[in-house]
Amino acid sequence: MTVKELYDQIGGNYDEVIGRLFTDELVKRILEKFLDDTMCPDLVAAWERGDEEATFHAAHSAKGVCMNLAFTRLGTLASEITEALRPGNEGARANADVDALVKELAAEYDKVYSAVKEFLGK
Amino acid sequence: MRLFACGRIPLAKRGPMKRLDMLLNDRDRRLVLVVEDNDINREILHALLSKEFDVIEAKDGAEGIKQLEERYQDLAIILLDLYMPVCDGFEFMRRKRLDERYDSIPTFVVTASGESSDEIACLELGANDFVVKPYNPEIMMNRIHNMIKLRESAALVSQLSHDVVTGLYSKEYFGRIVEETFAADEGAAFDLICSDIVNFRVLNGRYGDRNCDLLLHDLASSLVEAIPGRIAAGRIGEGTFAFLIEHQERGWEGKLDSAVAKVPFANLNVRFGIVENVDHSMPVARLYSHATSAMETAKSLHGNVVVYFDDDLHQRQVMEQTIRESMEAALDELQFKVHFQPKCDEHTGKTGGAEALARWTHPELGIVSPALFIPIFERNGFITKLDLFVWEEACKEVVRCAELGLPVVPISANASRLDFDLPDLADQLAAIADKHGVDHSLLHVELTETAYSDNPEAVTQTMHRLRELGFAIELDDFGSGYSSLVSLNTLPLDIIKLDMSMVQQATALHDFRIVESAIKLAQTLGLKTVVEGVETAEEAAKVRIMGCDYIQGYYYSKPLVREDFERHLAAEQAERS
Repeated sequence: MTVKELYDQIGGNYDEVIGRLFTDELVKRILEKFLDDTMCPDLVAAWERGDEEATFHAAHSAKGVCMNLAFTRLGTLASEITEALRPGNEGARANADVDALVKELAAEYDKVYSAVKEFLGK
Repeated sequence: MRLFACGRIPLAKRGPMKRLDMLLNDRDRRLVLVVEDNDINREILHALLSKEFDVIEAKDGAEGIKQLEERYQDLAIILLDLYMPVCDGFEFMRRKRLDERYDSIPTFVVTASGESSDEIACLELGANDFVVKPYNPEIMMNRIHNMIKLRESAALVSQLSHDVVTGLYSKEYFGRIVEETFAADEGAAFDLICSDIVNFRVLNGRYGDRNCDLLLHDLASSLVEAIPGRIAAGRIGEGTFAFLIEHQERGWEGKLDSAVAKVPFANLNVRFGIVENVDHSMPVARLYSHATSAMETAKSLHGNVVVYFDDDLHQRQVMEQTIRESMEAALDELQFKVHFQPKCDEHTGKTGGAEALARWTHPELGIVSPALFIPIFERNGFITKLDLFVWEEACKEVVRCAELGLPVVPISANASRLDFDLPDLADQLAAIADKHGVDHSLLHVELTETAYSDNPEAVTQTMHRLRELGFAIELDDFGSGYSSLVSLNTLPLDIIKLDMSMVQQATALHDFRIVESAIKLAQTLGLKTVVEGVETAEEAAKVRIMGCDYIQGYYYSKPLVREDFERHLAAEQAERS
C-alpha cells in the first residue's frame, strides 16, 4: 500500500500533506509519531471526566496536528470542538452538540489509528 | 530576573548584540528556533525548515527562553506555538520582550488558533507575523525569508547609526543629524552639551568593560531623561556624550548633577561643557573641541562640574593655538632663553648650584608664562625638544663660566615625564654634555614624582643609567603631590627639593615641623635637600637651622638671564677673595 492509498482510505488529503512534507518517507516518519501522539485520546478522556478546559486545550492541539497531517475529517472535528469550547464563545457552544462531536472524533480517530498502524506494519 | 529603570534588561547588562558579521554575510545558513510542544508539529516544521535553515528546538516556552539565552547571537528567527504546557507562547513573548538583546530576533507565531483575539494579543506582545496551521509551506517559507531579510537590514542600519552600549547615536550619525538640523533651520538657536566621565579609562581598568558599559548605559538614559528640548544625543567618545538641544537659559548645574547622582556607580564624576547658541557654520568637530576645552578648564575633578564655553575661553584657546603653531619656529629662532636661578649653599652662604629654566619671549604675544606653555608642551610632546634645548644651554653655561674664570657650579635642568619615553634619554644627555666637554658631575637632572609614578620601571631604569653616567638626580616638587615615602627609599636619588608650597604653608601656619621632618628624613636617607620658595630672611634662617643644604627662592635670587647670572657669580667671587 502506498501513502496515497492510505490517505484515500482514511479520507485524508494526500496532495496537501505531500505539499507540506515533500516525500512519502517523511510522511511515514511523521505517521509513526502520530501513533504515539495522545492528543485525541486525551481529548476524549478529558471530555468523559467532564473537564471542559482540558478538552479545549487537547482539541486545540489535536486540530493543529491533524490538520498538519491533512487528516481532514479528524482535523475538522477537532476544530469544531475547539470553537465550541473556546472560552467566551458561548454562542457556538449553545449551537453545538459537543458530546456527539467527541464521539464522532473518537470513532474517526480509531479508524485512522488502525489504518495507520496496519499500514506501518505494527 | 532584576528589572532596570526602564523595565527592560539593557544590552549592556547582558553581553553583546547580534553578531554584525552574521548580518553582513549572506551565505551562512541562518539559525531558526522552533518552540512547539507537539512532537508531530515540531517534526513537520523541522522537516520543512531544515532544507534551508539550521534548526534548534524547544518543547515549551521555558525551554525556548533558555535556548534564546544561549543562542540569541546566532538566531535569525523564532517560530512559536501558542498553546503549550509549562510556559505558553504568550508568556514566552512577555519574557523575550524584557531583554533588549532579543529585539532584533523576529517572532513568527504558528498556531492552530485562528482566533483574532489571539492574533491581536500576539501582535501586541511583539510578534511579527502570525500563521494558522495547517499552513501552506511555500507561503510560510517566503514570509520567513522576507522577515529575516527585513530584520537584518534594519539591525544593520541600526548598528551603524546607534551605539549599542548606550542606544545613543554613533558619533558619525550624530554629526550628520547635527549638520542636517543646522541646514534645515538656519534661524533657530541651538546649544550643544557634552558630558565626559572623569577618568573613564581608570574606571574601565578598575571595574572592567561589563560594569563600565552598564555605567555608560545608565548615565546615557539618565541624561536623556534630564535634558529637555533634545534634538539628538550621541556617544562621541569612549566616555563622552553629546546632546544637541534647543537653546535654553543657563541653570543646568542642579539638573545635570541630579541626573548623574541617579546612576548607581561609586566615585562617578562627570564634567559638562556647554556651547550656547552654536554657530551653524561651524564644523561639528570644532563644536566638540569648544565643549571639550570648556570641560578641561574645570580645575577640580571632584564633583560634577558644568562649564560654559565663553569668550575668555575662546581667547585662551586662540592663545593655545598660537602657541602650538609658533613653538617650532620659536625654538629655531631662539625665542626661548634659558635663565639660571642660583641655589645658595647654606654651608658656605654662596651659590652652590643653579637651576636652568626656559623663558619665552614671543614676537607678538610678548612674554609667555611657563605656566601657560609648559602644560601645552606636555600635552603635545614638544616639551622633550625644549628640555633638550635647555640641557644644551646649561652645558654651554658651565663651559662659559669656566672660560670666564668664574666659580663653576652644578646646573640642574628639568626632565619632563615625557622625556622618559625616550629609551636612550640618559645617553642622549651624556652625548650633549660630552659634545661640550662638560664633566657629568656638573649637571643635575630634576624630575618630579609624577614622572616616576606614571611609568616607574622605565623611569627607574633611566635614573640608574643617569647615575652610572655620573649625573646627579634631584627629586623636584617633593611634598606637593602624592609623595610616596616608599619610593624615596628605592629610587636612585641624590637631592630632594622641597616644594615651595611647604615653606609657604609653614610660614602661614607658623609651624615648620613638616619642613623640618622632611629635611631630617632626607638626611636619614643620606640625601641632600634644597628648600624652594624661600622668600624671607626669617624663612632662610629657619631652614638653615634645620639643616637644609641649599635654599632656592627670591630671597636669595630670582632666575637670572645668563649675563646677570655670571655677574652674580663674579660678585660672589670678588667678595670671597
